[in-house]
Amino acid sequence: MAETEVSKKRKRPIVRLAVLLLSHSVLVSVICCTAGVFGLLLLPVLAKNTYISENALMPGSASSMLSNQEVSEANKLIKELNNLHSNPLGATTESHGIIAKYMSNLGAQVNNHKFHPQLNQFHPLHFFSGPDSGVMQENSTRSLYGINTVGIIRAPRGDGKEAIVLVTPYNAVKGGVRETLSLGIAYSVFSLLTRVTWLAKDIIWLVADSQYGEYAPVAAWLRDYHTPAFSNLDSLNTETCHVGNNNFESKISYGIRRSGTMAAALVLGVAYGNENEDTLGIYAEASNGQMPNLDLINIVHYLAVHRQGLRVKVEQFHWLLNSKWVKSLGEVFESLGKMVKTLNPDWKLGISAADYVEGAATLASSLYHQALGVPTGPHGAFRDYQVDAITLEFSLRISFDRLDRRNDFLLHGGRLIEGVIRSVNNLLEKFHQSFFLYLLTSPSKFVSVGVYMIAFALLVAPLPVVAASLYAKTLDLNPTSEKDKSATSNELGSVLQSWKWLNSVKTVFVVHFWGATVSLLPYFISQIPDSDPTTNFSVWILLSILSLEILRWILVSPSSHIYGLPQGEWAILKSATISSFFIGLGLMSVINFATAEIGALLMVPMALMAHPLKLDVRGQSLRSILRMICNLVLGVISFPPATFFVFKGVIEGFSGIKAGDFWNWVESLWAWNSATYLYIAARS
Amino acid sequence: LAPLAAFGWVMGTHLSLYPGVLIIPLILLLGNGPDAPPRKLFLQRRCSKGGKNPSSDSSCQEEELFNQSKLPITFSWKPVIHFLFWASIWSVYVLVLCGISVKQNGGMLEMFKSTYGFILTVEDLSPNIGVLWYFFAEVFEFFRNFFLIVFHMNILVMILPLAIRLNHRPCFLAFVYIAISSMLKSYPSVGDSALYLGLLGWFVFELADLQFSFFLFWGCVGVSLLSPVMHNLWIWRGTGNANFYYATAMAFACFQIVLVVESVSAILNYDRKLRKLSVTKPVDGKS
Repeated sequence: MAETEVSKKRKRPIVRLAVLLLSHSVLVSVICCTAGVFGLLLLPVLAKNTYISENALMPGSASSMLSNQEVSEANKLIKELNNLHSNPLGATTESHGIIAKYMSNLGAQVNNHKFHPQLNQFHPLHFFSGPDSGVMQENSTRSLYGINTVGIIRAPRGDGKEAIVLVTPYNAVKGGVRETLSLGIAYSVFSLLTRVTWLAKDIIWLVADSQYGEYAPVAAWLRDYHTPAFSNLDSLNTETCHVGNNNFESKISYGIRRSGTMAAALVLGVAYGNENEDTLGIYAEASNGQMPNLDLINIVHYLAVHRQGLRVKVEQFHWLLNSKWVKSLGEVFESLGKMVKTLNPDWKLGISAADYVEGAATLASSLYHQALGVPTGPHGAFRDYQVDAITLEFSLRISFDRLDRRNDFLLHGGRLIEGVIRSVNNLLEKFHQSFFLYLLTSPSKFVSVGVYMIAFALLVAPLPVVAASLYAKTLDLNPTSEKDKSATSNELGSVLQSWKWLNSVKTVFVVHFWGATVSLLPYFISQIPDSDPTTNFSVWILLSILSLEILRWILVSPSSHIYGLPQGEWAILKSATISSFFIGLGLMSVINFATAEIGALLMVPMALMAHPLKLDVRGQSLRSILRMICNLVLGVISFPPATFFVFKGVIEGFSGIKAGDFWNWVESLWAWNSATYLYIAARS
Repeated sequence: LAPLAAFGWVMGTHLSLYPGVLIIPLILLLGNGPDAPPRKLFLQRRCSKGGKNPSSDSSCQEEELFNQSKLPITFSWKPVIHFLFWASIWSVYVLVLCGISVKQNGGMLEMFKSTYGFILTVEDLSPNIGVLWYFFAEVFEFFRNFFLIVFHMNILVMILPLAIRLNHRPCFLAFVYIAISSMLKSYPSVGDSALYLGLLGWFVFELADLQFSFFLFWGCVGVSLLSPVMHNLWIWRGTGNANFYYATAMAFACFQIVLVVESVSAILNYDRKLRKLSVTKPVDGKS
């Protein structure tokens, strides 16, 4: 008796609020969902200007030392490499030889790194254990190999414990002026850095062999760099290499030289551009939605805009730039901003419509690329080892053949890189001051995690409320009576009633297990040799349906009657599903926020509104019919292949879609160890 | 029965120190006989057979006192002494075997220091799902012994009150002991939690009224999935720190505490309900 009094007293403050929330769960969920979507649309307005957080960096405070002398040396290298392409057969080894010669002439330590490109790796559980530190298992790709050339400048005043890395992907077989230009910039900076007095960290210049893609050589080099091997490999790796026609023998020794932890890495590339001015493109997204520290982007942006006069751009979704509803939304926000300003001039929430449209396009692109989890450049390999890295892509107005334009370009690009390296050189610790979790709405505006998490939390908040309210409703429907007349039978009944939710939980887990098997199927399907994407896709669908039927036969007991559930049992099933969905979304938002946000946008409405179609068909009211239609539409949308097709159709106009497209997309996803893939499979 | 129980207990204590507290429910179980019904209810049953009207309550109590002296004391010491004898034999046996096998590695003292001493002094502070490692990473050297005593007392202090309250249900007492020791031991792991969660099925009927079971279940699932994610964020990605991982360990401990408290209260409610039913049932039956 004393307990019931105490429990009554306990019921007052918090439990009453909870009861209030639960009884109005529909209203709460509608409000929270719309607030969440509105918050997401509001993000470009809430973006702040970027600023340099780490005071030690001080970008641009020293005048640049790069002069025409280094540029002319770079021109020599470019000329020699371009002449090489007249003879493509020995091009690879000869270009390596030339680059190595130039590097060692400067006084740097050179070594060649041999790697075997690993194709089609699928390691879904790698997320939990970190990057692949094991030895390669497949020997079938041993015939393919590439050679990276690595040059290291040891800092005269440093202790050799830290390094800054410059990466230039170079495809010797394809060649082209574009690639040699990036080598030229890097060489000019490299030659300056051998003579400079302020260097405190070692400089590593990696000329990556990008025959098999740009990402593979960088990832292979990083893997070998970070896994120490304690045998004397230098003698084992010396090979002689014969090039058939020329009888050209050269001894190339392979090995790896190390320098210490990497403070930052820059990947350089040059692209043909047809814009109106010189632009610099920054690509920052790494694997699984990780981003480098915002300070690195800030340094590059500051130096490019304020010192070198370049225009900086980040990727945007161009189809959003021209879309009407975004423009109208921008105008709405502009007017809202003006209204707010009249209320209180201190609040600077105003933003012009054009800015909003650009911000929305960049934000959408940023979200999309982070959500996919596929790195947008070779810099993605560095993030797995906690090194901040970005890819810089220069593009010029006119073609590169005019020498004065080329020299101008080399000078400006070289000065930019030198400024960045000088700033990073000042660091005593690795980047930690600025944000790691952010979304860019323009090269100089960002949204940090504290802001975008609120929009996500609003969107996801109705889920536990609805789950708790459904569970409470089922508890009320089956009251445990305390009549003593039929004590024993009632006891048994009440025992079974209170553990009844275990059945629905079992069903939920069976469905998740099916999702996991479906996600693992492509690995086995891809082992089938010589099949094109469409066949693969159809095989995948068949096998998934088959496994679903098998699981249903084995695990779902005949007593639970999925199709003919009474009202109470169906509510528990929905409650269990929503709880597991909430936990999954919460976890995913910690791992890769963008995936969780997009998943929540697509699936929270569906989850909240799900209702058995049979019951809706029987009910005649307008509300149930509306609900049924909504459920069908939302259910179709949230099934990933359907979403993919719909979006692609909206973007590209329904003309070029094949079923094989989805397979290719999925393959590219799991080739990058993406947690997105697991997430999509778990949600299906 | 006694030798088998003794063997199990000795091996459990030898492998990790904490099953040693299970000696109390073992003694209770062996003393009462393994299939004895809970003693209090038994007494109540006998008492209510006679009385019909409320005034018979007082006579019921007198009868109870009277009966107590007359009841054969069902707690017999003979199996207990048998058990203790076998326990000592097994422990001597195990210790002799250990002594022989560790002779070249430094003898018995070394073995005790590195097995029991290690558990008691918490030397290794690598992160686990428990709550001790973070705490002992921060404590000053001067106070370390004091905090060691506090943390071990945390388990020992709970033994006696629980034994007094739950001595009519030795199986459940064992369950609660296992749960508490798996939560508060110096190096817990998920396997310890799995042990007592498996034993939860033993009491399905009694725990039917467990409040918050749904919430607890999803909470445990969520925390156990969140824990490796936080570990990854801390160690592999570098965007988190030890606090993230420790927060999940604390949340896990919270859920375990709620589970233990709620299950104990559910068992006590069940006993009360049984007692009420057994009092009123004969009345209804006769009316």
